[in-house]
Amino acid sequence: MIDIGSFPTRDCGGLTRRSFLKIGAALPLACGLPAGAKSLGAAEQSAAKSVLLVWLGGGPSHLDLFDPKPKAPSQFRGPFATLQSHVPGAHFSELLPRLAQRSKQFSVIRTNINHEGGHRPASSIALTGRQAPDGGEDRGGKPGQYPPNFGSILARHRPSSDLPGFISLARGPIGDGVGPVWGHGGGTWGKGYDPFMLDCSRSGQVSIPALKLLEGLSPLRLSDRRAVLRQLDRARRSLDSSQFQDWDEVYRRAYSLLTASGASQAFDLSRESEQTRNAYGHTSFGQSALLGRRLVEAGVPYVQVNWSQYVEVFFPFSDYGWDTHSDNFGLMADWHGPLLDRVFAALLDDLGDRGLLETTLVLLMGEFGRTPRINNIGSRDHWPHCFFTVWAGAGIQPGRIIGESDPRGEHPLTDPVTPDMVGTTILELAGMHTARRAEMDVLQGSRVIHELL
Amino acid sequence: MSSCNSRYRLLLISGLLTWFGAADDLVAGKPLRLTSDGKRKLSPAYMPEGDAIAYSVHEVPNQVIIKRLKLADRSQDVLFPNDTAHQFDAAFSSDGRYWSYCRSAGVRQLILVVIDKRDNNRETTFLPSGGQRSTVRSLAFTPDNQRIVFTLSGERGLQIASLNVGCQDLKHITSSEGTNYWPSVSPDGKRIVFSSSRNGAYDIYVMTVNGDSVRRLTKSPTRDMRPVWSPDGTQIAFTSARDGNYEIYVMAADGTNLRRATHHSESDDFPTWQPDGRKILTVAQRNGRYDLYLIDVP
Repeated sequence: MIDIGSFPTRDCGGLTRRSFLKIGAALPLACGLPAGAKSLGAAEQSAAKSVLLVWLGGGPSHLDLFDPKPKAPSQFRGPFATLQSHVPGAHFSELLPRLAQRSKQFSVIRTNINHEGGHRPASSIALTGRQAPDGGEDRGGKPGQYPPNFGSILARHRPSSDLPGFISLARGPIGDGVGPVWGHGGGTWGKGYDPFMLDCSRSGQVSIPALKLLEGLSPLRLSDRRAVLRQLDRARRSLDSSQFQDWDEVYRRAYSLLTASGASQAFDLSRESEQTRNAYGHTSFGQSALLGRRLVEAGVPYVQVNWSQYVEVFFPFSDYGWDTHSDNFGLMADWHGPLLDRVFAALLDDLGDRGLLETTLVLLMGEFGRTPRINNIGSRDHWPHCFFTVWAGAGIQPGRIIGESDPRGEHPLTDPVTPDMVGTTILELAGMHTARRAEMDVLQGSRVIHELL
Repeated sequence: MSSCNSRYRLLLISGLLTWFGAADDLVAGKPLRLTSDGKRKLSPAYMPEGDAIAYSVHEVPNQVIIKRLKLADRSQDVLFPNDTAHQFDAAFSSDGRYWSYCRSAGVRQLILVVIDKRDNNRETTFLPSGGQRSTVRSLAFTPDNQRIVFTLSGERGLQIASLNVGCQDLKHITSSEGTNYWPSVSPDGKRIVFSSSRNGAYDIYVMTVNGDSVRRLTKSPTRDMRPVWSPDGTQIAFTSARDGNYEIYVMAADGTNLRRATHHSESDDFPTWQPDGRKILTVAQRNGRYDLYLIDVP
């Protein structure tokens, strides 16, 4: 199930191919923290041992999912009917029948807002809670100016002795066709606090994107130090010095992780029953969500399951993100709606069955919603002025609809929920209370979303 | 197509199914699975001779391609191997001359491609003019093989339109409120069945090929979509969510005699009639995997 560079060691049928790492039972790892980071402990009691963020990059349409407006004029409401959920008076889109049935397991906020309308800065803000002081991705800023990602903060607060403290599941750095989201990782704390990235294929094969440069390194040769050095030397020549420094750090952490002993048990989806794997569905997103649950089970403090690497849908390079500027309604019916409904419902069921919902904070969100008014090509564009987030698990009172948007879903009628409130709530529920946030100088001056608790 | 060719096609299809060793399953009414890779599949279509099926499949994370399943031996190949873009919604003229599909192209998100197989694979394209990110989806040839009907997300929103096979002479067929999607042309070439949200959720409507005499055929609280005419023009198969998830239904062409064809807790979608009209091809999700299945007509 583990793929180092391009070398799968085991396929989903359990066959062993080129198993170059004999991995034992539980293993302690040395790569949980960057060098020099202090273990600050987690003495404070917290409801959430782990945070599992399901990230819908591109901007999922709130009107077509969790905040339908069936009485709005046709140029707003869209073609989808609504379903009565199990929460009295709360309707969801007909695209979400499984989640409507499970509506008492989670709460929905319908009045989230973002401060930017472009994917990359809005994503950075949604994942860090703050705007970049130099303007960010779309306003002439530079990388490294955003504060640290919520995951980076939690990983530093609660260092893991085994697995990395912040793992992001995607084929590569999340972003759009222009570039990566700068707020995806350590930000002002540096790349050492970036998430450790894993890619999970639809067959459940797990690989480490950062090691793709080591093409041609066979399992046997991995134990040959000279061969590894030769490969590294080739990789160094293919990168400039700054690129190599970044890559070398990731490589060092990955190599340490994989050679320490059997950490990859957590990555090995073949240990799951066929029934469980089927429930999530055999898509990359489905199996990634299952991998996310395994990582939570293994004690990783913060896991981000990404729907896709890129936000775009139809560009030749893209991998079906949520940026449905065109054909929103066809895509939502064919692909996005049914897949989200199945996978998130399976995740809630699985966490619940294993007793993990009590100790795991689960959050479903994207960087913004989509225009309530249907655009002139019959679709929906970016809309940061009002959208949804879904919360479940540790510390969350389920079965609530929090906040109300106006009759067209354009603006909040009740208090808007800002990205720093989202981050503050995540950290609070994970045991980082006000004093600790002040000590680490993160997300001060905001408030917890008390309505969730 | 001549009646002789039609008879040949029926014999061919029957022979191919026997070749599969599937006769017992078919007699017993059990769905016959045609693929087993489990990858996400969309919009299958029979190729002109009836001996192969083309379908879009999420082959690798960043590419949806159109593959061809040859029914004789179930071998598969990539239909457009030189195209590195996403490919959707294959459609074929009944005489086999024109192959068409939707291709991702960047600013114009999906363009319509028509390949003339009798003219050295000459390719013509249609770029929708509704501004950035306009698209075409859901293609269907008219029975005379002269025009292609499709969904156009252009200046008028999502509407039904048509072009000639040279990708010219654009005609807008619908211009209603709501969205109009998934057109299918009747075998006699006189009518189009399609889904529309003009009265709320998607329901199925029928109209003349010019867009006149629109009549509503279904009235479901949830969506009815992807209607397709049977080869003899007497029935319409479609996908409906009226029972909680996607299932295949069949009704008479006038909207009466509604029957449910599938019963499963996972989705059954993208109905397409087998050319002899005796089976319906679907994309069904079973155990979290998507494959092509042949089911009985209820």
